[in-house]
Amino acid sequence: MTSNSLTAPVDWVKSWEESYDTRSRIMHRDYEIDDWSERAEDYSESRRTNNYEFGESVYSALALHRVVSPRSRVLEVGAGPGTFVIPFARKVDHITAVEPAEGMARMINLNAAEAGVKNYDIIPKIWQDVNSADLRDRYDLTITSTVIWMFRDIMAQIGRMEEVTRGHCCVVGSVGIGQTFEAELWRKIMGNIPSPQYPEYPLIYNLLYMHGRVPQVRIIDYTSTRTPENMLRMYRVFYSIYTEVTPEVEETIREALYRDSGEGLCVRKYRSAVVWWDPAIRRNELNGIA
Amino acid sequence: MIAQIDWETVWVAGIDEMNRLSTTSYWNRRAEDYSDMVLTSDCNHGRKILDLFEMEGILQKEWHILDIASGPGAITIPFAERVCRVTAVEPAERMAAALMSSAQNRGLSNIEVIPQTWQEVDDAAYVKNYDLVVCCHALWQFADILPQIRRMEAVSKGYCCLAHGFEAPSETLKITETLGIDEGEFDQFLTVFNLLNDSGVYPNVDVIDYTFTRSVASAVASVENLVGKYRLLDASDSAIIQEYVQHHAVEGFYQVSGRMGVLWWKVA
Repeated sequence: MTSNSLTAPVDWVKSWEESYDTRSRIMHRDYEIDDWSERAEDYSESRRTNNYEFGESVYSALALHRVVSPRSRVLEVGAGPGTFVIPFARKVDHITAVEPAEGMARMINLNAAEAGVKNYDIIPKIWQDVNSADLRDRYDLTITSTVIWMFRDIMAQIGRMEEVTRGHCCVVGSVGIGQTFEAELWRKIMGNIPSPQYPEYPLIYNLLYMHGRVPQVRIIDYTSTRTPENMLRMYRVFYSIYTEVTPEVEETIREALYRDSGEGLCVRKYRSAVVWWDPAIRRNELNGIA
Repeated sequence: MIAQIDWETVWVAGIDEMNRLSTTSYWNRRAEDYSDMVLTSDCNHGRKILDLFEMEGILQKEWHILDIASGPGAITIPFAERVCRVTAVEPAERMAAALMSSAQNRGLSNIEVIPQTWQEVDDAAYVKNYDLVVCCHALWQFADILPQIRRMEAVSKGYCCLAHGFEAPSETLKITETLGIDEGEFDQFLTVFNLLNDSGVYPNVDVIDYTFTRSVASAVASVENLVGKYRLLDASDSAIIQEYVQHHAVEGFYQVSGRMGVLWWKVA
């Protein structure tokens, strides 16, 4: 059969790198670890919504498929305020959080104390600085959420996540379900500059598939609730990456938030894809007819 | 960027090429060996799909299932053993007869057949009529795949499920390679996956392992028919196929294992 350019395999790594580079080109400055400390409070409030609904939903999906169990030792890459640390620690043997931002680590400790969980520890580094060879096969599950967009060398970092698990890997990526508020606010502040893309899913599925993995997916819906002040804090950090946050920019954000939610809590509905796979299982190619 | 690929166009290009090779007469020739494989395998992949919905805690005894392009009943039979009613859409008389004969042998009286292609079925007459609409191993029949999926959603009040080959059995890959058959680069599963995501349907994805068991004669016929799509079968091809299948057969049965991708979602 002759090669047809339309049906030829897509170079998903190139797509990923192009997406990363396009985002980098419009950045006013790069993210710093202190940005995440600044985000600790709002991020924590978001993840704690409905008693850690997000983390609990991810746990339920994975437990149903025997990816995680009460005997599991889990590594969370980029744990933030304890996205999975708190809900998972209640149910598994032990969880290790890789989290470089001091503010986030403090928040993990606060949230853990409140939840009464002690079966966790924190590696205060960025994932790229963790010596994965030292942790080889130490865990039953490596999990990460809203982090992989920071890795230009995506498959190298996926490979390192796989290296430290003797069980499964899991990436939880957000699914864009038309956040019109975000799009309108970006237009007001940034004009015609295209908004940056953080395309974790379904791009990550294509990448894993292309590299011979056998990934499975559950789609989950969840709610995030934050005070207007925390929303403002989040947007202030976000826009400082792309422009100078002047008093006018801050006022634009405040006005938009007030119009959206008044003085009450900002409630957002989100959807994510829970993607998991066993690194030991690889697929052969299947083309043509099954 | 993923959004810049028009997956419907990719699908049409891939299906056009496939259908040029897989004519109706090819599928008529395949009907017998395919039917033999499904029934000898005791509907193995259909049972795995049933297990999936049971494990999720979704399946209800009261369900009415629509099985599009049911063939001899890989999906219909196992579901009919567990739920209230199954309607099979199957235009090929021989397939429908094999299905009803199999149902009768198993004492199943909750199966009915709509003897039409899915495209011919009047979906307006069945709006929100079924709890689960399944289309397994048959997506290649739809050049206009997204409209056909939207019609499946229209007749479902619960779930839709599309199942397709994810990984070919290694035995199949070996024999096709030996025979110099190149089935091309078109990846149906990944194309449908991306097409659904791009159109705002975010399906759950399960990958199930299946085992197909068939008689030696059925296995030989299936590979001979496959070769016949690409070139005239010669004596050398037949000898290679016979030798390969006989060598891998155990007590007269040829068994292979592969993986199937199951895309399923709750209809809004």
